Amino acid sequence: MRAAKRIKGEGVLILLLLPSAAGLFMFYIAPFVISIYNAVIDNPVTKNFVGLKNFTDVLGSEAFRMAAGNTLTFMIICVPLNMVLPLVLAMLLTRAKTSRGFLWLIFLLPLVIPSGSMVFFWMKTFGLNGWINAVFFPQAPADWANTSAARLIIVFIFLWKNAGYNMVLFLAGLNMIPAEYYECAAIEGAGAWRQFRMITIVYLAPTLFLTFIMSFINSFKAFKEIYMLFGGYPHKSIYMLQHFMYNQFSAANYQKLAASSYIVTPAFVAIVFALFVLQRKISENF
Amino acid sequence: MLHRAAKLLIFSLLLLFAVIFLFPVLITLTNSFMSVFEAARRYSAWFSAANTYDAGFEGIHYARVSLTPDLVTLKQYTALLFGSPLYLGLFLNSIKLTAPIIAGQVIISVPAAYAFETSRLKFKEALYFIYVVIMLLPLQVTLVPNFIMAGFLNMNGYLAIIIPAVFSPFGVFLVRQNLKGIPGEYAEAAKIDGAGHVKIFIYIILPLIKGAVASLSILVFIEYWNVVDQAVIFIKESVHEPLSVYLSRLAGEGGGVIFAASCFYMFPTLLVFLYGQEYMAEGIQLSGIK
Repeated sequence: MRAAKRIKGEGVLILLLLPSAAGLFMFYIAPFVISIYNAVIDNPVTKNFVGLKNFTDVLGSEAFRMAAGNTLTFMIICVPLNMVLPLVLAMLLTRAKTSRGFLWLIFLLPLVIPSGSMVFFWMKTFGLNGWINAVFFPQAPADWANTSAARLIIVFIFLWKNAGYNMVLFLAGLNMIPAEYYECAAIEGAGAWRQFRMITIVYLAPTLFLTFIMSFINSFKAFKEIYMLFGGYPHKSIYMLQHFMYNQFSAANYQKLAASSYIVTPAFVAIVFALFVLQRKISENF
Repeated sequence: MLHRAAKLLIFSLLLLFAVIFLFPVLITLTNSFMSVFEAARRYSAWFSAANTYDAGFEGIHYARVSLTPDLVTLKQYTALLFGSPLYLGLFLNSIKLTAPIIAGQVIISVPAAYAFETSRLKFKEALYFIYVVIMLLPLQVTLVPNFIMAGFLNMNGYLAIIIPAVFSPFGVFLVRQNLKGIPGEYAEAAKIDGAGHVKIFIYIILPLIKGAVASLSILVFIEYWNVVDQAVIFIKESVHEPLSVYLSRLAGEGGGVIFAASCFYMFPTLLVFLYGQEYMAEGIQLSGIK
């Protein structure tokens, strides 16, 4: 669209943009800026200025630290797995000779299934009377959601639901690598592993990075499943930052809520920004 | 050329993954054709008069998962649809919530995306960067400003969910990604014929981005059909809840119609998926930030 210059009626573009920009300003930007006021007063009644007390309270609270730690741990486990599994699926699919379309559909399916529709199945899988206990631990059943295994359950459900997303990105990336590269390498005697390391991984670098960023962002979406399965106060190993925020909502503690959103937002933006700068640098080499 | 054994290995691996991915959905689908009594007997957590002969442990009754119901019947569905008016009402709630969001997102974001792509405004890229940042923020973070504004404007219930969702920056981003792939020559030719932005947008650009609009609608539909967090915060009366929230509660109670209710809730998404899979995949590729 770059070539279209000097089309008459440039002013009308502002009218096209205005509804969206005004709405974004009104419902996202302005209230976020204004909420700094909530973050520096003691409560909505007395409205005393307390400086950074809400911030130090949040940062110092055990619940916040636990939540931040759990969120980080979850990401460290989830993000790499959510890259490896989709890459494996995509590579297997490109090599499949039959029913490729059908298999593609199956791997993508969980992405569209509403979380609510699966809650009962997951309960009857990982719960105290679930089939995992029935099959593997019939004499010593455990309520896995209330043990540290809860984290594994969440990782499993997250991968089940989200692997298809990155698989689509990887399939597009794999399609962009010319088949001649592999043919050449094969003629020169490179084995499968060497081809993977020297061609696939190298030319897939931009996609790998993209899936890394998307996995990082999507990892926050696991909250929906955790909340539906285990409620607002799950086992302490899966008490996430989102739980912390959500419980401030429920308690109507807008001072802590505003303060924590002012802590989480800059941290998140800084990480995403750093990732993008890194990505630009990597992409420039291609 | 791949060796025969390698081919077999690839196919069996794919099959294994396919079984794992399909299993939860398949169980839910097939078990929705069980009778209400059979579902309760198979999945109840504690022993009762109805399931004493099943395997278990010290009072715990294990779920007996099966792909095939003992007796195939539509009883769960009839109980669900005719037994109480509740489910149809909740289903309608989900539609009332999702349809305006899809329509609003499309109407608001498509023109804005065109403006972002063609305008020569000085600060547009800076503004666009803010759009992208807000898009990437976790839901729990953007809910805070949404909530404050809803309180300020005295909006509650559906409006408090619909209005911020309509202005979500995602649509602008997705459509602009698509516009970037359209060669400038299309607009160029119209420009020579004296067409302005409005004409170019309506007669040239809109027909070209139909696919992107379909992708956007599908992704927004999937996202908000599955709405949980906002509904829990903004909707107080349970008769106004979308089906998603109600289902998580019903699952805890373990009623005999839970499978049919789950299927009832996922059928619209399955339908959209089967007809719009290509658009959905395209949408995912477009949403990849480059």
